[in-house]
Amino acid sequence: MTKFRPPDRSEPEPPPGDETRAVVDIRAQDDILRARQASRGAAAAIGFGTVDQTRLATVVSELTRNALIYAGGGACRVLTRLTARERSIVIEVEDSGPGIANVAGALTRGYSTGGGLGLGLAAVHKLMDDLTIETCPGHTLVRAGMTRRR
Amino acid sequence: MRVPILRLGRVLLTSLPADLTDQQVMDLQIDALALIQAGKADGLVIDITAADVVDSYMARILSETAKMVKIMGGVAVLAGMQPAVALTLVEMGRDMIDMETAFDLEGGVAKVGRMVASRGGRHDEVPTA
Amino acid sequence: MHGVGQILQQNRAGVLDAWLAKLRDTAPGAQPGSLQLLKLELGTLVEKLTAYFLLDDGDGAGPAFKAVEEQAATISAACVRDGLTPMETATLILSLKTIAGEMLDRETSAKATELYRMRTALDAVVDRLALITFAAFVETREEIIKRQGRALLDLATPALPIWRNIILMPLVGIIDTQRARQVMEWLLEALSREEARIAILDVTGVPLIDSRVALHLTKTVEAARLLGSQVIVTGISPDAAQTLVKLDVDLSNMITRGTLRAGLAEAFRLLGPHAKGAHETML
Repeated sequence: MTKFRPPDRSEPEPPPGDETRAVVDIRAQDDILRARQASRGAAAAIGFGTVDQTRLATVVSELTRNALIYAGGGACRVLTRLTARERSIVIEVEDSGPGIANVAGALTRGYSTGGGLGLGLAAVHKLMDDLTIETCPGHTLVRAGMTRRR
Repeated sequence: MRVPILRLGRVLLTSLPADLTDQQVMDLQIDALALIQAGKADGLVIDITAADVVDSYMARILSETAKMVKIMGGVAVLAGMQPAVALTLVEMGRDMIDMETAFDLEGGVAKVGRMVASRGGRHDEVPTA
Repeated sequence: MHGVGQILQQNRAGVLDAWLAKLRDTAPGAQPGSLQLLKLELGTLVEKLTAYFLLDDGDGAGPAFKAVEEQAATISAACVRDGLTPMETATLILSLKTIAGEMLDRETSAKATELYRMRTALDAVVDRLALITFAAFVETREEIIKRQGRALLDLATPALPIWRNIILMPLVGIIDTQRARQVMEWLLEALSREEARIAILDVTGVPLIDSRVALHLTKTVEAARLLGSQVIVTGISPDAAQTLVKLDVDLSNMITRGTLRAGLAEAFRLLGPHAKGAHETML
């Protein structure tokens, strides 16, 4: 069973530009799976490798589950940007829940208010290149980005 | 839909599908523990060859299931993890998967066998001299 | 600086010939073939420069100058390719100052003040070109270094199936974060592809093993464990052992051996009867 394959160089690269690849409403557990698949597809479309696709799908899983558990739902957007030198993908997850009271704490392993292990955001932080969190009661936006040289 | 659990001798076998909801993982834990409690098996092999994402929630449920099986006198082994999944889990933090592992289903079954043997055999039989 | 443009236009062939003579002096070792190519590039530069001086007033702006700049960068890249040193490349560009300057002296009937103004404008432009050439030179060089680095990375990390269920991966060179990630990916891929139970990671060729490298090794060992395989790290030098203990790095979960031979022996021990081909018994 071959699990890794080098990128096929003969495949034509998509043209440069910004694109919103997917918007997934998060209302139920199945939506987590749909968001995961959407992010993997978008990452593959702009030439990310298997390992990066897996990192992204994992991040989407963590973020959308947070939105579902803590805020009862939200929305997940997958945005891509292709330039001459870089390919990047940004995952945005937005919800209108109570917000994160202690962002620094949430980024530390072991911190949790929802009965979880509190690993989610800390893990996202480690898997992605950049992570920004805007949060207040009633609105939380987590934006996580990954950039690779072409 | 619940994930089916098969029985091969004294080992429970289950193979997780690619897309698994949180609820299905929980159901699997409950079903496996019930079968072990009924004395039908000494061990559990969970094959995750098909899983292309294992996030912190699933890693936790799997690790906890292994601990629960152990408390009930059995052994649990996770088999067939994809390299990309292993890499991601290691990057996420230490000890995300706190359980025994094997290369594939066959290796998992063999490992359960070794672990049960090193313990002195089936947990519901009087050892023969 | 219309005057400069006109004079350049009338004497283009002369300027170019003088410049090429300079080029042969500057780079005596260059291949005739590459000189031919450079000649074309230099010809284009003189042409673009003429166009610029004809159009513009010599303040170093506008689309015409942009074209000159681009051509200078192209020449610089060509010089790197042909193995000219930065010194030689800069000398080549700067020699245009003398050549074209002399041409101005000879061809113009203008007054001394006018001539002075023309030469100043020319000098300013050529100086600018020299700087651009140098910047482009450095950029091209870095691009080449990066490319070679990547090529070396690809070559330097093979995963060899040396026995049934055992692969060997010798690491050579400095392990930085990017390389460590790559090594981890390749090792896991190889374990999976070869259905290996043991990977021997030989670090004899790694000059420095510090806590950062140790952390990467630890992660690799853990990732391999998740696959159901084991990693044996061999070739830990006395220096490395001293460093790791002094830094208080925890390697308790890692199987380490001093020599590759000892590592191989450990691999066979771990595999047990499996190594000799016997099948494990099912429960």
